[in-house]
Amino acid sequence: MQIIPSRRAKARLLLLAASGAAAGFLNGLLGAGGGIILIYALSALNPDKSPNGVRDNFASTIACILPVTILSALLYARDGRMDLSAVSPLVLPAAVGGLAGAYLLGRINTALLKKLFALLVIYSGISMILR
Amino acid sequence: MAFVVLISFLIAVLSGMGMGSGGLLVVFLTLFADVPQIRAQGINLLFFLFSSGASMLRHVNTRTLSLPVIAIVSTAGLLGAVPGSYAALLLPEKLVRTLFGAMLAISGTVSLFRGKESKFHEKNAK
Repeated sequence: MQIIPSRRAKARLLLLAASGAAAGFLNGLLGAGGGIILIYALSALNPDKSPNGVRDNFASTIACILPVTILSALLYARDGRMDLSAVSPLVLPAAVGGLAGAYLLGRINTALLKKLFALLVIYSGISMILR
Repeated sequence: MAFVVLISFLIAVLSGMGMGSGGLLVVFLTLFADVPQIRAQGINLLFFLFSSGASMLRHVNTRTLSLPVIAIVSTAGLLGAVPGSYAALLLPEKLVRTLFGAMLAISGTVSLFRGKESKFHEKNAK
């Protein structure tokens, strides 16, 4: 049994910790974006590139970013940057939509949808920069 | 309000499907509802909690999750979130909005090309 972690195990640990810290920083700074770092880091480390592996990576990403989001939300609330009255009408659609999306994951072909979504995100980003 | 609710629902569905909400709610709130950037980010954080928290109820039962990986990544993430949150407090709001836009543009571009790369790997694996 190897007691001293191998070089590969250390590199893996470093990648996980670095990507987690970077994702957390983005999450705190921008209120979003941490997931995109984590999905790539977890994909790089997961040898399973099948559709099931991809979905597992996505679920793991959410599991990792959820506690970070809780902390970021608490920090925002503490500093008066949280508007609970604005959020309350969105709670139910958010929960129902999230459940619906999780149910649809793997059931429908999302290839075209992902491309359209990526284009929408790029357009949104440029709009925000130019505004 | 009905329109905002509908948009929120659709963004949550996309998020649950693995598209990532991509901060689209922040874009919608700042560009169409005139909500200040930092306040919109705060709303987005809570929104994500509910949408992805709900989707995790299903993922926990249907997906394979590695608890050690989640523990390491989320612990490091918690440490990163504190300086990130303070940076948002200290930086000018216009700069934060520009950074947010840059984040979206980069992540969208990477997602677009990553899709092509995945297809390449799938074709070669067969």
